[in-house]
Amino acid sequence: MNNRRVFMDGIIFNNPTFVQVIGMCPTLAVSNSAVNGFGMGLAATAVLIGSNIVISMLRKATPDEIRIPIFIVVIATFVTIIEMIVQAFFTPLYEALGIFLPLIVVNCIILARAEAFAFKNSVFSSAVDGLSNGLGFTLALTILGVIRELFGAGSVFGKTVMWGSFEPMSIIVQPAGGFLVLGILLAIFSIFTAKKASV
Amino acid sequence: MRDIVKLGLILFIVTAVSAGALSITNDITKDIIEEKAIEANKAYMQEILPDAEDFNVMEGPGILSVKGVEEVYEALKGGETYAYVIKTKTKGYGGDVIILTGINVDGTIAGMRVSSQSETPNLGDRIAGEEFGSQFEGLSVERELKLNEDVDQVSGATVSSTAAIGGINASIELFNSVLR
Repeated sequence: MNNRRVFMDGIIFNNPTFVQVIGMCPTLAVSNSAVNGFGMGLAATAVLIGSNIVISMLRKATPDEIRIPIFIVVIATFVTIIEMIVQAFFTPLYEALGIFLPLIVVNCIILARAEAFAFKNSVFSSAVDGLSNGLGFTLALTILGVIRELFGAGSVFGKTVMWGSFEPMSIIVQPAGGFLVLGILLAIFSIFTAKKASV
Repeated sequence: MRDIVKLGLILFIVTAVSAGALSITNDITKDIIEEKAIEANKAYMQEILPDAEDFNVMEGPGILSVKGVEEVYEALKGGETYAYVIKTKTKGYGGDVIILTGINVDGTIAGMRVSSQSETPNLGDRIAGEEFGSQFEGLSVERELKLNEDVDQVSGATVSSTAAIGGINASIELFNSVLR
């Protein structure tokens, strides 16, 4: 498979959030502001690239029977390393993401890419796949975050953009609002992809 | 039998390398994380007590005797203790509410800051806002504070407000029983 195709797949045609609809728990939980969504996306991207590369490197030495435990160990290691780095150097982000940062370990996007892609493809392709899926996830979370922050708090990336008398719609930044906005986005996204398929 | 040993060995190597990578990362980040935590506290304490020149961690028997109290600092000005800052942890609506309360040695509250909370956005998280927090400034610590009597709660957020005042009352209790 050519790497260009792999790259576009991860970001758009096979977007983890809008097409595969996996990793919903962190998606809904941390997308209440643009910065949180973006930060979570980047942290997950770093884990994805790292775990995809290592798993792809180990794929010939990994017996089938124990591949899942090995995936889990590799993923958990990367998550913990990223967690410590974020806590040390990006403390505000660490506090904003809270429990969802260590919970990247159970994000099914990462295990899914390990099993479906990295275990069967070359190291370079796997790195590209990790990057593109990570960016696809980041893109989705940032779009969600921008919309929810705009209507729920009247700001974008922490800067107030709505007029002064704007009363924030609290529900949008609460969990229920996450479902509402995600549902609307999924519908819009599938309009475009459905059109493409019928042409 | 051979297979099991071989599989175990492979798994062992992978976990051993992981453990090594983790311990190296931990060594690099540990000190920075600790420093940042102290710095963050200091920034809040300086806001509560702008005149303070230095803060010292207090240790000793009884310091952590009140439930909810996490850390106690004395604030120094001209070499003398003129106030205390007490860090408390109470249960809110969405998780732990961590509050720093400054109490002057004369028995009045210098101020409070919510240093960490995960209350409902735009509702419970207003306990960290100016409007709620500034009500405590200057209140006497003769007795326990009561919600809607000494201070107004954040409307619609009773649990969060109760958690906040609970933390402040723990600080008051510690001040009266140990520090005074």
